[in-house]
Amino acid sequence: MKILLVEDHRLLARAVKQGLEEEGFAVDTAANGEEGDFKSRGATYDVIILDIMLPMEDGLSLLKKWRKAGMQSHILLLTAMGSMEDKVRGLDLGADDYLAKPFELEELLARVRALVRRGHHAKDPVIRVHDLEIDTGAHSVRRGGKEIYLTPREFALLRFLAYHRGKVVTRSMIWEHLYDEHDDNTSNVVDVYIRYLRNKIDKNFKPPLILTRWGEGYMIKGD
Amino acid sequence: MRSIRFSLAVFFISLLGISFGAASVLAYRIAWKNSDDRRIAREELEESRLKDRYREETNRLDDALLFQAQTLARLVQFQTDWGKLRYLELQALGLLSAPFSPHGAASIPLWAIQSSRTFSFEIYRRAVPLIRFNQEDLLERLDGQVAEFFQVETAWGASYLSQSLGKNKMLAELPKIPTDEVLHWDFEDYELENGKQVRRVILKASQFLIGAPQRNRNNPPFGGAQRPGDQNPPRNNPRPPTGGQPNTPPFFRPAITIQCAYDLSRREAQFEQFAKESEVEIGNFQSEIAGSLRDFRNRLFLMNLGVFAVGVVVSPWIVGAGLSPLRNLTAAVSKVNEKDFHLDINQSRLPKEIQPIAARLEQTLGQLKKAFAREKQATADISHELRTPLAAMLATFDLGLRKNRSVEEYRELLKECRQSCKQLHQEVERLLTLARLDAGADPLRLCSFDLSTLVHECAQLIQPLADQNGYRLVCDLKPDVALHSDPDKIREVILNFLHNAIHYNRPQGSITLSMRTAEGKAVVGVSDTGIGISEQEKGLIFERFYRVDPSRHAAEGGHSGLGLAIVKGYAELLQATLEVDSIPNEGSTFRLILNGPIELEQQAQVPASVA
Repeated sequence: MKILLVEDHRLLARAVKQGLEEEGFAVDTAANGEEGDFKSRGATYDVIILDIMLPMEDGLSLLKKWRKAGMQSHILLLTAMGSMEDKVRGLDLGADDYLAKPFELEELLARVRALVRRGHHAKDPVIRVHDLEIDTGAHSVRRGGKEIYLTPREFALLRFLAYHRGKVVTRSMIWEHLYDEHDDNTSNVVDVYIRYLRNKIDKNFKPPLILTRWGEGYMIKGD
Repeated sequence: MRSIRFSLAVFFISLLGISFGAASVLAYRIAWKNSDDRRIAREELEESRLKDRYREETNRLDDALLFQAQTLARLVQFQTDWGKLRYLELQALGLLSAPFSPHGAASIPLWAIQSSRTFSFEIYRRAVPLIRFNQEDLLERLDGQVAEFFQVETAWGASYLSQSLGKNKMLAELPKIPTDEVLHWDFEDYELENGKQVRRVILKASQFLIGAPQRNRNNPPFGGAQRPGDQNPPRNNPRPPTGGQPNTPPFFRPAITIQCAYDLSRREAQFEQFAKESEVEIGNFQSEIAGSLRDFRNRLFLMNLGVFAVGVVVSPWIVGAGLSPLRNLTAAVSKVNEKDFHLDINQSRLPKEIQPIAARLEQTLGQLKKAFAREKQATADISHELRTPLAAMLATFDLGLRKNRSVEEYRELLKECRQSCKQLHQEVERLLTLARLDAGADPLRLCSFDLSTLVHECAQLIQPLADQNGYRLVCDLKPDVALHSDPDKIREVILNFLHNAIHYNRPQGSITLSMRTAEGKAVVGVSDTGIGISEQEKGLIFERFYRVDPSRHAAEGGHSGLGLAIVKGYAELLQATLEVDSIPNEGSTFRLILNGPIELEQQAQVPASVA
């Protein structure tokens, strides 16, 4: 799950980025409108958190431009202008959600999670695959009723695979969605994390849920 | 609340009333004058008519009097035994024949005595019977009886006085009758001895006058052919109609004088009657005129009333129609609200009296719109500037509280919180400064100070920051310039310039701080080698929240775009001028030009060198 955070306030951006990363999201940041626009073209983001008052190009014009260009990412407007009119205007221009500054970090994270769910047409925050239960809200994973502890990155990988269950996800897709712009690890790190995940999820259980499609990628067995 | 419509309607009606009233008064006056003229003319006419009537009446009475006198004369003639009077002729014959007859000469003196008139008349008086009239008979026989008084005198001495005269004999100075006239008469007013005023005619038949009655039958001597003319009394008789000498020698007859008179009071009564009639006539005419004037006045009054009524009914409409552009303007203005400042009116179709109002209104609305937009923008900016660091702080706290972290992590988060807090504090301070400036609550605190020292202090203050960023700070200060102003505000302005110079400089750039005096002004300039300001932006940089390159905001922590707005406010307060020179991507120079510096060269030289 990859998120673009377009926010010109360095400290705010840093805090939000860290919060999102701790949720297992890969976060790219942009400090002004132009940078945001540029980055949005370079990758597919699940969610874009967009400040309205931005240097260079303001958030609303970016939003208009992106929606016109057919961008599918969910967009959460983050702004100091919290009046009803501003919210209505933002949502009518194609935003999916709106959050006024100052905000609770947890609320922002919850909204981002909701947007991610929506992106995968999942209403239930708990993804169930066979006897595996992934609670995207509480960040807990159970298999056969047994709690399994995952690192944020493992969790993110599992969540990504689970959202795409029944479909093959390539390494590059995983790479693209789970690692931000600053990660410079090579792509076999994906294989490493898959192995960690299998160790925790499939090792003591039957049947194995994480399958390898040789030459293509990985997938979680669909029902 | 006064209504224009009402006032205008009242003016309109008043004007209508006044003009119609004035016209009516004028018309009435003309009519009045006209009828007065008519009245005067009528009175004059009436007067002359009255005079005519008097004259006619007098003439009529005179004619009647004359006629009666003539009748009387005839009566006298009838009563006279003319045969006896022939002796008078014989007398003359006797006198003539006396020289030729025997003893005739002796009788000449006798004849001569006899020939003398007095003597003869005495004889005639005795010889000719006295004239007697029966009073009643006489009055009966006179047609159209006018005369009351009759007096007959004859050449031979016989006379008659009517009883009405009594002893009051009328005396008359008889005019000499021209020889060719048969009859002669005169009219005159006369006063009797008893004081009675009468009108009389004196008719005299001359001595030779009366021809033989038998021969003159067709032309009676006293006939109506000799009607008097229209002359006013006293009148002289006209030329006799006989046209000169009678063709037969007149038969001698002695003169008869007849006077007929009537009491003038009788005529006066008639005159009074006439005057009364005339007065009645004039009175009628006057009342007729007064009536028509009254009618005219009433009609004018009614007309005015009508006009007034029509004015009252119609004027609100007319005025309303005239005021319709104003109403349109009002409607357009009432449509204006804080969301739509457009004045929905076609200005070119407004009357020229209202156009300036509409134009001004539109202009003001435009300014208001801008002000509203600015206000809105300012609100948005302020919320952004305050909420963003607040949000950062909150987010950082939230992050810290999410889970247990290492001490280093907490330290890092706390540092970030402090940074956000500091930024928030600066922002609040700037906003408060601006608010104080707006409210005029930031007065100048004037004192005399050395500007050179102040600028130098600023340079010292900024030096560490410049060093930290790797910029070279160059100072070019004229020493010992004293100023009487507010040093704190000037310092604030210079520091602001310097901060901007650091903020917008390019790496390894330089900053030049200069101070000099020229033309009685002190100029403090700060130049940088930064990004510069484009020509369009020059007017905007002093606007609140405007940033030349906002992308660097917040990242450096501290430049919200209020600094130059505060500088502008301070400069206005200091009555100083701000100047900006800039070449984009090469650098900018900001100058603060202060009035009234005093150079302290001489006085300050000594302490400066001592120091």
